[in-house]
Amino acid sequence: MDELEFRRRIYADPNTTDEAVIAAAKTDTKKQAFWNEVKSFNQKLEKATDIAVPEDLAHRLIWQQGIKQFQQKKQRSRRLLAVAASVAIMIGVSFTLWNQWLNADLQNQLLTHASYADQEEAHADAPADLTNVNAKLAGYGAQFENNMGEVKVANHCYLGAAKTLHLILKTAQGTLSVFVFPEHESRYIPKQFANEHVKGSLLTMNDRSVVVMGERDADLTAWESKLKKTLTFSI
Amino acid sequence: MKTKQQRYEALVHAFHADIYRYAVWLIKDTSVAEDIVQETFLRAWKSLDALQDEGAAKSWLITILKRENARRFERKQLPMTDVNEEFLFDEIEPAQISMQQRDIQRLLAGLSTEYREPLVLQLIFGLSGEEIAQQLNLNKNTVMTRLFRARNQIREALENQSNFRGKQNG
Repeated sequence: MDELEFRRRIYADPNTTDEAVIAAAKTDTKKQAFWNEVKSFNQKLEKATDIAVPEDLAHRLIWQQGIKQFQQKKQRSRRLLAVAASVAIMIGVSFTLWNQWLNADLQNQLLTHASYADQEEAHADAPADLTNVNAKLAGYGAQFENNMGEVKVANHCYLGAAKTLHLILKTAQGTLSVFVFPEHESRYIPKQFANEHVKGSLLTMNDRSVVVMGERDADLTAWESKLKKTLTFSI
Repeated sequence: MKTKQQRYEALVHAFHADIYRYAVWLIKDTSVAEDIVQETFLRAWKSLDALQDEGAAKSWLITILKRENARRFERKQLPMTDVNEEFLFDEIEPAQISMQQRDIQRLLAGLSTEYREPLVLQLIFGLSGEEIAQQLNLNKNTVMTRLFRARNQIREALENQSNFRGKQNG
């Protein structure tokens, strides 16, 4: 290794462990002396960089991190609170809407169902004979004593919250709908109501609501009395 | 299993002094250096979970510090040149250090950044040529040349100074 290369390597890294450098220094006392000189110069350099560090710096670094974390936690909990508040509002609003929907004007729902009674088809395959109709009525604690007439369809319908039994009969007066309500139906139904196509009337039997509905010009009174005679409630 | 807080405190105690010194030599302004060190450790806390190998902590912190320092220029649109060439060591060091030490500090501070930075990384952290090359994104030969030139410049300046003083005294 020539003199210049040796000096370059020593200057670049005075603490080098390069074997070629070490070997060169061993065989040449002048090189070794130069190395020692640079080493001591380097110690001065190291000492020069070793400036004083503010005494409390470490504590401040730990402290500032603690403060920052605390603030973030506070922000996070504030954000969490905001989220909780909006969730609460959402729940409140949905509950109100749900409740409104459940209690939506029963009269309108009845009118709508009866208006489309012509197009209603049976959900069950079984014919709507007395046995099958009575099987469905049993769920409402009711039964027909004898045949009412030609029952075309017997379906369960949801009117808001309540499941009702919707019977559709073919009569000489046209399509007739009978709605049997379950127990504890507390929503308001008027005694008589109508729209431009259909009309209905409420019968109260054993504290239970039964609604008869037919076409606008149909005479429902005969059917009302027939129902009162044939439909009985056991509970 | 150490908690994150314990790891952080250990990191602060192990490295804050060298990181601060490096920042001062890089930035040449003690109060700015201190701010950057604080930013550096805050950022280190945030991504402490990403630091898997404790052995890599030193290089990791140096990288964060360099990035924080670069952000300072983005933020303030300061000129990239060294503003504070008149580096006042009297603020940092009490008077006990020798005249020669003070000269060396002035000369070190007077080196251009491309020579000063690798030299300071070697002197403070004891990084190898490869490690410095990696940290500064240079190849190793370039780093070794810069280290050689940095020491050479300081030595020559010191010799010139002592010759000059010698002549004045003689």
